[in-house]
Amino acid sequence: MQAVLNCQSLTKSFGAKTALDHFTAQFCGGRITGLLGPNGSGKTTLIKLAAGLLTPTDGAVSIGGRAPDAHTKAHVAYLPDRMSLPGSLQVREAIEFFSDFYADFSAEKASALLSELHIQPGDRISAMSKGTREKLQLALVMSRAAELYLLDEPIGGVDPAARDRILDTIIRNYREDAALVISTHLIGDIEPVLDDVVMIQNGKPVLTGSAEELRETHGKSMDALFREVFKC
Amino acid sequence: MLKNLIKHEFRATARILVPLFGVALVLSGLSWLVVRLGGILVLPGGTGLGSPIFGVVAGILVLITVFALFALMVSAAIITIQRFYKNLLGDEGYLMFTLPVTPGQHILAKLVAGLAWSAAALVFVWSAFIAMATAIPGSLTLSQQMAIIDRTFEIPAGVFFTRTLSLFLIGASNFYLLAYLSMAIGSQRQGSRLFASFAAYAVLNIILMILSIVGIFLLACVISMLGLAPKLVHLINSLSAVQVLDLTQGVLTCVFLIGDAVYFFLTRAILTRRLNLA
Repeated sequence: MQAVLNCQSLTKSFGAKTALDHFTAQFCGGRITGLLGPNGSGKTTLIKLAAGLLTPTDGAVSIGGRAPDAHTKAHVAYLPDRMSLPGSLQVREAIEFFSDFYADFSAEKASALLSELHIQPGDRISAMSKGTREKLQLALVMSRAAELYLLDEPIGGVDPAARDRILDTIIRNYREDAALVISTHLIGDIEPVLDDVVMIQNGKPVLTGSAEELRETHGKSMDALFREVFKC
Repeated sequence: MLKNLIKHEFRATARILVPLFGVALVLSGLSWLVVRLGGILVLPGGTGLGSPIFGVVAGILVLITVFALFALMVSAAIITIQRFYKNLLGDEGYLMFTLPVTPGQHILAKLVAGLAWSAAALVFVWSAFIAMATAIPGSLTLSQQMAIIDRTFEIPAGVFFTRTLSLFLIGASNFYLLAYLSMAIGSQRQGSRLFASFAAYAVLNIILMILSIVGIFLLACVISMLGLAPKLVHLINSLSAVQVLDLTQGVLTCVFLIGDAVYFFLTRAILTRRLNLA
């Protein structure tokens, strides 16, 4: 398997605080990787570095062998941990926006997905509930046939019923040879879909490997293992 | 991609500015009408419908129109600056900076749209004032006004307006790019980013003033050392008023363009290497 996202001794500091500390890992195509860790462990920083929203203090991050730039961004589908779509847009305008910028975006797929989620083309984003906005943003991101999906806390702010719907949307819609990275601390919900796991603490990987192998080796679920690793 | 960025920038700004243009158009039309009907600006209460009450109402309407036209110009500038802050440095930046475009293209798209709206507002305000001025009974006609400009500046009025508009755009681009740089610097702080942006703008202006004074002083020293002062005085004295204006405009354009380039590259460098979204 070829690594789509490669982090080599990746370090990011904000003043005196080191958010990511010589982090080395590879994220391969065709695999769903859970980036697991408590709040403030460095998950979002790692994803922002891969998305090209931050530049490393030290080390390197590459996507398909290339440092993040306008070219790599054409192949990376990024879901931020906040609402980034302008509230003044209607859903159909948001679809047009994505169509205009991403060659791998399917407007038909987005429309079908949004219809399933009961989101109408004429709905204005500012008038939507927080959960609906998150679903809209996810549907747009998952309507791309990207090489790398970076999903930052996709189920963080929604109720348990909506989590299943969101995970289902992710699993049914991502390009299967792509690398999919999901950051979360809600392990129980996401565990069934994970191929690989990277547990991160204080900006360093503390446990990595195949989810199945880790379960077998430690004789516990990923959720139980997470609680053990990050025990206070 | 730049084309798409500009398209969406126009669309986003049009949501706010088109209604403002509409209001200004309606008010200008009404003002033109009352001025035309009553001649109230020339002889209040004297001619046409110019009874005292009509005169007061018409006067207030014209004042409101002038205020609205001024507000239109200011709004175009504020929205151009606010769009950069909100769309690139706020939460929307998480979408914008993950698009397959470069930071330089983002800056250009914002600048192009902002300048286009500012130019449109300026032309609109000019047209509205000229229309209102020609509406006053007994006032100069448009062609007479143009003829005055022709005679005063020794160039056709069309060329005069085009050159004024060009200078306005170069000055406006300088102002916007300096504001963008200030906001990019302000965004480096974790909190109080807006305050930091204003502070950065003030500090940059102080630095520019100091640089200008030092630059003028050095230039004067060089001219004095090379003994060019008498030749320069003779040259300036030999120029006509219009040529002096041309020279001033040329120098200002060069200074603004150098400033534009410096601000653009510094802002681009910050957004590329030190992007720090809220």
